[in-house]
Amino acid sequence: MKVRVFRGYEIDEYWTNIAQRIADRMREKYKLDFPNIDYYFVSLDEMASIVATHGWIVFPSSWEEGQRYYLNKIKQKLIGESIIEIVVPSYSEKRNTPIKAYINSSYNDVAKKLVIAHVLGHAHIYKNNVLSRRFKIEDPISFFYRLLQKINEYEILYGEEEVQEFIENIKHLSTLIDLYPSVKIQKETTSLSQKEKRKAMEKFLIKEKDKIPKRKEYDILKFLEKYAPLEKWQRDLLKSYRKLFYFLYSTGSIKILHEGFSSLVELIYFLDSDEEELPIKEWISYAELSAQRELPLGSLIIKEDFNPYFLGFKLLMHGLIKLATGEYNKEFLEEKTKWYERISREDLKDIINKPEFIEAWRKILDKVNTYDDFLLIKNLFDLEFFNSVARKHYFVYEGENYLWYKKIVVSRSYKDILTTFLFSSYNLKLPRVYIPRGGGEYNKKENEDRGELLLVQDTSFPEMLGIQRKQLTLYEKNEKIVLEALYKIWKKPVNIKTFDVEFEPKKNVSATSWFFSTIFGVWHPEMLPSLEERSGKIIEVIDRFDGNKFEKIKIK
Amino acid sequence: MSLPMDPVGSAKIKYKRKLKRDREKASSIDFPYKDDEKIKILRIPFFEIEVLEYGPRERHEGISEEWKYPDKGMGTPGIGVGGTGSTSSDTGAPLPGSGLPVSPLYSPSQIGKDGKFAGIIPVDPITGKPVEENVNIDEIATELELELLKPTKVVTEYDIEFPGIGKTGPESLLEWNETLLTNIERQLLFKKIIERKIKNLDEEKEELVREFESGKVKEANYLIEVDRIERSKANLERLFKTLPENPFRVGRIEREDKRYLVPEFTPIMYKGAVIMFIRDISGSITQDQLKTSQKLSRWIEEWVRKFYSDTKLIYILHNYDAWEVEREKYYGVVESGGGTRFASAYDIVINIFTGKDYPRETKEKKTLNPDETDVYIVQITDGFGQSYNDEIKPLKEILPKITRFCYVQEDFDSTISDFKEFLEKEFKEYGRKGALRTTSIKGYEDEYIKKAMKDLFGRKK
Repeated sequence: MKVRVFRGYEIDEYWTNIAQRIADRMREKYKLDFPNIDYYFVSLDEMASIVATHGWIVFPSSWEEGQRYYLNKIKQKLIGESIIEIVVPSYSEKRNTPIKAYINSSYNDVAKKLVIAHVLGHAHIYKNNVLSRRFKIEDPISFFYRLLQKINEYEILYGEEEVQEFIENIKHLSTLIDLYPSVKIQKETTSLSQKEKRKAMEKFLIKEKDKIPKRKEYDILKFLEKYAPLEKWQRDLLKSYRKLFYFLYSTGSIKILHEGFSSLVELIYFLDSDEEELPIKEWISYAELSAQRELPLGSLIIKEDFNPYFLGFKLLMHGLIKLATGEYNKEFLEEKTKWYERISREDLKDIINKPEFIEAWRKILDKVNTYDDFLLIKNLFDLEFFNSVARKHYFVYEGENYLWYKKIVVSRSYKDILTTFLFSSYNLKLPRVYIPRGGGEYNKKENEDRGELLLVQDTSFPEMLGIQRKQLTLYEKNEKIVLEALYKIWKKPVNIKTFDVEFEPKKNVSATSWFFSTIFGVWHPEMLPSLEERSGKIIEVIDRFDGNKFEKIKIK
Repeated sequence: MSLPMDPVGSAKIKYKRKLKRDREKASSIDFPYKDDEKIKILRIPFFEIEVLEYGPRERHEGISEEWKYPDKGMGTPGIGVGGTGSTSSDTGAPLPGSGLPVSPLYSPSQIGKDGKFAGIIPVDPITGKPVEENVNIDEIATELELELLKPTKVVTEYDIEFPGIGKTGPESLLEWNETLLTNIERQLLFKKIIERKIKNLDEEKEELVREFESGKVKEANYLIEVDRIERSKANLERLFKTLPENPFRVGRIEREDKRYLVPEFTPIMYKGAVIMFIRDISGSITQDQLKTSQKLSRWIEEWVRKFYSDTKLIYILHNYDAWEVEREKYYGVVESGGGTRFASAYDIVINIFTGKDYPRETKEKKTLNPDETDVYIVQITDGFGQSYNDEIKPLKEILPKITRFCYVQEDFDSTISDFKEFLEKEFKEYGRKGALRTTSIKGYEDEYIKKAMKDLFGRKK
């Protein structure tokens, strides 16, 4: 595998040698598997523009990317924030084009070496992880280039404003895709008798006219692409953007694994090297930096309040130690979980070179190749991990996402934390919505080819995890915007079947209690609703938008 | 840019266009930062793309706020970071939701009583400079006039033209096209000359042969002559071979080939006035008065820029001391403080006239000849200074030299300074001539600003 380091257009031979040496060692000794990699040392300004486009050198442009660029610039200027590295899987296996990694050139040599090792972890996952390959676009750069050209062409033909408006409209619907497509299993064919064959044929012939859609459809963008009354260019853009959304969101479902594993590779490289290669003095300044590491600003995927680097790293470390020792006892925990913080470098090398460790490392690689975030948490977040690490760091809160002062700490128990982690790593913590069979013909009148659109919220999986229904309501402000966006594409009224929590304040208030509350300014106990009333009653509703106004229809 | 191409490209322009169109719809992110020990805010408009997500429903009317999340299990659960024994370096700051940054500089103690930050000014997200509101001056522009009494022209810049081409000059003015042409021309000419010379030699030889046959020339002389001709012919032919076959190929450029542009300088004359703003930012000035002086100078500036584009502007701030500032700093003042003395500002004006240095935050020192240019001074203050006789001492020196002194007094409170009346009384003659105009202003609403402008720059009747 070839590794190159670029500064601008030129290959930096000194750093190429170093990077090649690191890559060779990690491949041979720790069995990492990655394609060719091109590293680029870039300046802060270049970093801002690369982060704005999620790391791609070519990207379909809209105002969103421009906004992200300026936000990054301002953050760099005011807070001094700088992103260390960004990696993109811009390779096609057919042509064997390299992965591209952009590294901030302003860090010291030790940091650069560690980041080079860090990138190897990302590259390994891009190549080997099953889930990262599920929605992969073959040769993304040329896909984006084609899309960019298309947009430019349509902007000339139909006007920039109209095209950009349409794209923005699609972006509101970007989450209405199916990240968990059902896999078709082919039944074994058995030989049928003549009679049975005829019966089957008859069934097929008499079958009623197909409904729109034929069966439950989770991929709503696909449905719209097929049935919505769109112009040719709009359909074309919708198709391309759907592909793009799948690509972007699918990387979000292995975020913890990605960052955790790369941090682990970084650590292993550090442990394996000697004082000459990585002087400890410089390493400390880098460690301070990496402690503040965050996800890039404005990334599509951020919905969590926890740091994926930390969680992923700790989970995989936990797995590694558990696999290396074969058992898990408390004494070992206390001594060995912090082994890399206490003992000397020579001792560390001995540990790493033990056959048990190498065996355990192989098993971890197997897990990395097959897991996504959900499985990682489900399989490695056990009671021991909770007691040793998670108990100190995590709690469950409820309330609005972004306002810390509105958060209420609800629980610190193992079970609650685990379910919440699982809940937030499933479907990127976004609600799942589907179109039921015949959902495109809702309230259809005669002589019409299609009716209104009906969506249904699916809460079956979170409810299976043990999360209550009233915790899963749709955010109404955003829901209205999404309905509007859907209406613009479907061009007929749009409905979404969901549920609401209804409160009924006390109506029969006695005169004395009313008098009491007005004089003292305090609620009289009689006026307060009972516990049952306060927790509310779940009712099923259909939210409807008919082009002019929103309506909430209760279902009895 | 050392990257092969700019990935953001036209997205920057699209964002700017979106900003222009939908600024009102944008929510904003505030970045508080410290500049000169003052907390300022960079307010960045932010557009969000809303998608379907979990969250609260809108509640029915009549339900108290507290009841929205009364019990466990009402909101969508999330994972928080914190608790006992956790170190911030392990976990990092909580990640922002959907790209909204949580600034580490933010702390509630920096907010004022009214919920606003101390030094709040709208700032452009891209340039980082204060945003200027649009000023529509056309309404009253017909009633205003900037008198330009001193017609003397002053040379400010030179316009450079290149009318000719010469054989000498500095290397920076080398004209390549001409140089190459002369090079080719010279080669063509050289070739022709050699050809002509060879032809001449041939003719000479023929004539020599004819003369030898007729017996005019002796044999010995004849042989010597023929030898000379043939030798020089061979020399010329050798030289001819060395020349390039295609004369239009550029050969070696000699010094004689070089051609240079000949510059001609024509001075640009300009006729315009200079307006000096003197703005009071002492402790007695309230926020409203600050706003007023900012708005008034902004309006005057806009009017002058539109109708008298050659006019130059000088900005002076003062409390007890005075100093000259750049334009952005002048408008960026958000807090007032210190004592008041007008004379310090007047001293700066005198120094500008005499060419001495003065306190300033600008890069270059300004000098002016008031005999050649029209100078307007606009002073905006609340009128509470030191003793009046001391204050107007430098004014007595200034007033005869300048075109007009405009004095604006901000009378907001019940206590009103009588410095305005004192000025009018002291400089009665100038007032009659129109070299002194005074006005008082009572608020920063448009009507007051318009009235003040009419008072200061209205046409003579």
